[in-house]
Amino acid sequence: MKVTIIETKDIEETEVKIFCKQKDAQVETIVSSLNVLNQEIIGKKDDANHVIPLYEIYYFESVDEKVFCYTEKETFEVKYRLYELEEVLGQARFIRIGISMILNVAQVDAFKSTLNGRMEARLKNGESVEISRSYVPSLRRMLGGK
Amino acid sequence: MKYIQRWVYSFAITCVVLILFNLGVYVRLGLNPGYIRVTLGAILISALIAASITIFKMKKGNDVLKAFLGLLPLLPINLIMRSIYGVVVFRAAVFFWTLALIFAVAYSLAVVIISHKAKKEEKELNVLLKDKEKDAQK
Repeated sequence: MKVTIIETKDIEETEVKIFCKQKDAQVETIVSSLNVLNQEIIGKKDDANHVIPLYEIYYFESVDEKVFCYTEKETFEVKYRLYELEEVLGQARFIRIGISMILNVAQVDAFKSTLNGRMEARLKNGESVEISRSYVPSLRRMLGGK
Repeated sequence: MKYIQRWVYSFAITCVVLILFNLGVYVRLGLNPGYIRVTLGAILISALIAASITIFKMKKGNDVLKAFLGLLPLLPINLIMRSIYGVVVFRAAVFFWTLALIFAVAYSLAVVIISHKAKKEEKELNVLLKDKEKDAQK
């Protein structure tokens, strides 16, 4: 598969065109992956609803039976349960890293371990979140490891 | 809750170790320290081990300090062992200090193994993350 990226300042919105002989399973996979990335979620803040693109979300956290999503600087409350988000967002590089947290791996800058064996994910906004040890194997598998 | 869980695990392991130690003491010295004494000792020792693990695994604080503080609850174990088995087993000071050294070495070894394993895991995850980013940029 050949991938070409054309950068131009003239366009207003990023557009993806797929050139193929026929619409096969590979093309279907690409389309579904793009659709997942293109998804948005409704978040509530100060009694107002906001549309948040998935790629802007750093992580979801459940606190006192409420679920919040964290973007670079803001926090929104979402109406979904954590397990529902986990099911829906599995394809979009979101992964459960603790009993109350789902992380967007695309927003991870680096992983850091501590002397006592804890694992942390350093996010691109400078924040750190703890990865529970029991979720490290699934994270490794998601990143393409064994 | 975590502390209780750790205490239960340590209690199970401590009981096995003390049974074996008891057997050794009984065979070599013909000494029977008594059921209640050993059980109370096992409860106290496992509580101290659980405290040590809890301090070491704490989320907040300096890592090196936590590793050092985690060793402190293990130090009185020697005294508990001495009160269980008395001066017959602990008559030589060298035995007392050897046991303390064994605890310190075992603890240090555990710290080194845990941090080494975590470092290896960290390195692997970072390599996978970089590969994933490279793939996305292609």
